Amino acid sequence: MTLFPDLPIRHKLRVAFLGTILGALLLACGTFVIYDMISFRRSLANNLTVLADALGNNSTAALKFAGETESAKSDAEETLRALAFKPAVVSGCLYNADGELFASYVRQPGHEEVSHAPGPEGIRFEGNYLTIVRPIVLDGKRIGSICLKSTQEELNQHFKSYVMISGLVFLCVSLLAFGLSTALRHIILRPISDLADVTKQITDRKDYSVRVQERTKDEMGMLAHAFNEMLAGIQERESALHSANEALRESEDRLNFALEKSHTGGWDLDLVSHAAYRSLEHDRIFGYESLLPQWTYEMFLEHVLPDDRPEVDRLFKEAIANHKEWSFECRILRVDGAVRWIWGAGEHQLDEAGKATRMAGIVQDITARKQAEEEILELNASLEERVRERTSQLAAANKELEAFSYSVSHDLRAPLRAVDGFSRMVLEDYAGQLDEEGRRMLGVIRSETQRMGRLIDDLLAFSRLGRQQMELAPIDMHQMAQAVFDELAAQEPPGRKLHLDLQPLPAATGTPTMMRQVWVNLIGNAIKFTKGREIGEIEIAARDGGDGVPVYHVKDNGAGFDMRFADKLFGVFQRLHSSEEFPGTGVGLALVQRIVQRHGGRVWAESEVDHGATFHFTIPDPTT
Amino acid sequence: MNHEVIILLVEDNPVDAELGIRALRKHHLANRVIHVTDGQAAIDYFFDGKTDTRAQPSLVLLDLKLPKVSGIEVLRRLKSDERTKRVPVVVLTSSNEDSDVIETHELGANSYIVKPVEFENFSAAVNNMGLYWMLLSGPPVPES
Repeated sequence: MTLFPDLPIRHKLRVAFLGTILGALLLACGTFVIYDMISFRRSLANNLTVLADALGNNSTAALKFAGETESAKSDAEETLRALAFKPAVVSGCLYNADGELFASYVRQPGHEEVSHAPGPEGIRFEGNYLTIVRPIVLDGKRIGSICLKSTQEELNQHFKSYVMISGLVFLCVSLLAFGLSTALRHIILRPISDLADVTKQITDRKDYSVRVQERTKDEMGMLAHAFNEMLAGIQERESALHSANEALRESEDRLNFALEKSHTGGWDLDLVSHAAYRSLEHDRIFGYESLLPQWTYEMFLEHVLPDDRPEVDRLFKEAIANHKEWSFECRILRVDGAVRWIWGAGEHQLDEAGKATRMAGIVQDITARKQAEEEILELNASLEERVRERTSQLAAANKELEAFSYSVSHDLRAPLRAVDGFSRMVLEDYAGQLDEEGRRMLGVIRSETQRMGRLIDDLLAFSRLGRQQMELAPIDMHQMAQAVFDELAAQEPPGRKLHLDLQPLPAATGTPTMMRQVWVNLIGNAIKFTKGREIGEIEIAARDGGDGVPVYHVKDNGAGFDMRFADKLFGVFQRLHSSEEFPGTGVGLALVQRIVQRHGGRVWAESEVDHGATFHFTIPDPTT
Repeated sequence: MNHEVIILLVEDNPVDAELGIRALRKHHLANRVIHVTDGQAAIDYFFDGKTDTRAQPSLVLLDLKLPKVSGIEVLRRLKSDERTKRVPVVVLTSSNEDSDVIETHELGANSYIVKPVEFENFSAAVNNMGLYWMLLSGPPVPES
């Protein structure tokens, strides 16, 4: 027998529904029946009482003359025979004042015992009979009593019919209730069973896409709606979780791929038991073809070469003690007997409580890298050696060159002095004995030797430039240009008219002595080539070259040159004028170009024959 | 006042010597020019014991490249001796190069002249040294 709580809801509903209705009905009917019975009984008693009283009244005469006349008793019996019209009454008895039976009527003789003495007065329901005893009073004096005995037949009939009707009503209501409940509970139950079905579906198939149909707008409807929303939420989270898992799996795959391809083995060491999980690559590094069943820190150490073991172990213990990263390089002896270099690193992993119980990390076979490193070191060493050699060779060569050019220049100059000096002496002492032509020839000798001297000087300067160290110092270009001009102008014959237009010049950074040489040559040229002019006009200025680099220029109003030969201008020993017109060795501009280029700049010239020349040059800032 | 200008020329190259002496005489830059051709002779002139009887030079023109004893050595000797260190020494160089110039100053020379010795560079050197009086020498005295 299933307990009520475990009954299905539809049965519970029905039971409740029916129970309520029928219970109520039962109660009502019962109440009414009982009340009715009581009233009926009362009225029955009342009726009988009235009858008794009436009969009693009618029998007063008979009773009064009870002992006196013969007919009194038959009168009384006559009166009592009126009871025949009341089928329920089974007997009626009259008693005199002494309580003796005077007259009686019995419906069915022998059926009922007539009591010789009246019972107590009042109404008594005994067994199946209702007995009523009433006093008979005449003129205020009790002269006797009457006793009527009636069956409860009426009552029973009444009762029976009442119960039947009730039963009928009961049945009808039951049927009605049953039918109604069957019809209505469907409406109530459907949403619940839907929900139950859907829930079972979800549990069985893990399909969160199903939804409960919202049939009604009551609490079940709200429940269904909320349920659906919850499902929707779950579904979303499910799919998010799913894609996250996918992504994670992909990322893990990629990681493993990378680790594998880079021959990096992963390991995860339990710091308490010293047992470790490893990737296949890890064991492969140590020479094993497949993953060993177990691996411990001690086993790892055994593979390390004895010489390297103490250091590796020390670093490990240090890392554990200080919660630091463990990082090491060492040699191992592989299972196949090969010695390899490996690199490893590990970091502490904290558990939920924040304690470091594990260390996870990687190892990598770096033998190839180590070999390469060694090679590089060797190469570097040999390279450095070679550089040292080369440098000292160069230094030696430079020194030789310097000594050579120095001694050569000195040795060359001495005979030059002699030739020049003696030709001059001849000119001075024997001028009288020479004719025009002789003097001219000697003059040629002198000028040529002087030219040779200048050539030697220029060549020496040019070669010295190559050996000279560049230095970086700030140079006041304006001041330098002015000083150089003043110096050169002073060397000119007194009659020479020179005019300098010197604009403000931005400072430059470079080697001052070299820069001075540039100014000397350019300004010297300007002075030289303006010899034919009334006033030698020289302009020195600077402008912004567009990319922030200043461009200086020296402009003169001298003889100028043919632009067609401009590219020859800066060549060594190249001249665009004859030495008759303008003396010069042709090295000056080559020197200028060399110096400017060594400072990272450029030099170029513009000119028009007989309309002067402008020489431009740039000295970029070496720090940019 | 007539100061006698005596110049000691220490030069081994005969051509340079000739040119120098000629310039000095021609422009009356000295009353007397004494020419020695090597470093030892220069030192002897000052230190060989016959100093007092010899005329003290007002100026020494010293070439650096000399046989026997080098010009540097002579210079050092002259400048380190009490008796001779005040004698002006002008070093003769064959070029204007920095190395030469620096050397002469380091060695303690009073000035330098780029050969050949001529009126211009001689008087410039003399002016540099502040010995203006040397350019005011009197008429030449026949040399010994």
